[in-house]
Amino acid sequence: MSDIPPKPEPVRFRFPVEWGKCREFSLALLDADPAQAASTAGDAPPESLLMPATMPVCASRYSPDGLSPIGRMIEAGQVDRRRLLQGELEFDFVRPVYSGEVLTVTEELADIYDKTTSKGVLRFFEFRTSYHAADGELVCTVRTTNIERRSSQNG
Amino acid sequence: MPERRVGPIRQEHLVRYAGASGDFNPFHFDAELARSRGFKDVFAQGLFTAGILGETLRAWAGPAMLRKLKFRFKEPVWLGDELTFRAVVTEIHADDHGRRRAELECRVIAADGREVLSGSATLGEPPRPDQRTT
Repeated sequence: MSDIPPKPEPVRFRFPVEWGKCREFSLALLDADPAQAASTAGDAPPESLLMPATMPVCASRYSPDGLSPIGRMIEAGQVDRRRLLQGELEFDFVRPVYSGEVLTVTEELADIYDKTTSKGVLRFFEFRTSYHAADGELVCTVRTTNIERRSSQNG
Repeated sequence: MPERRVGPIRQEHLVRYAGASGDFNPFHFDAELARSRGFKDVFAQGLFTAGILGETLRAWAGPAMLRKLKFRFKEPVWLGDELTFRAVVTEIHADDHGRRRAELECRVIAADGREVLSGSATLGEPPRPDQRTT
């Protein structure tokens, strides 16, 4: 019988896109002038900043437990942190997001499966996180894959 | 996209990104711990490198033009690394709604030739409001 854990319930929470966080994040990514990007976007609200493209993955800190989806499974004892590898990340953007918006984030485990490779058994966790604007519009989707080494040829 | 050079990567960069992102994995600031686990030193958060790629693409193409960014971390980025960000258009096509899309192959290369990140991006006009989903 497979020991693959059951998929947890999706986690949903609010993610306020703060001006200060957008600026701090942009500066940390070596953007010399965070106001520049929004000022060149036609539909940017006045005085707003563009949310950096990869900032959505940091929304997990706004979740009720402050954990990322894989962090939640580690805490639950379903994943061994020491055997974990980061796989592919994929961002789909529908439109730019600006500071001042409040997004609704839904984190879910889309798929979990084992694969036997020449290096042993690997367990794949495919998470999908969707970000909806206040009017319900989907603005961004992030897919992340984490891989847990379950066993190797050498045991 | 014109090549962008970043670096040398300093501890300050990783600390700033840790604060901004909330990624306080000690491998990014605790050299003793990193060495005790077999790494030669602390290394950058993968999303620090990917984030710079994303912003470089948006600065070049326009803030609303980035449709997709997909990547994989290949090698650690060490302190002192100088990185080159490259993105090359590999295909231009029309999507299901007839909008032009440019596909790009993206790579981040360290000065010693290591490929630290590889991926792809799609650029193009955003979908019209009536083509969006909820």
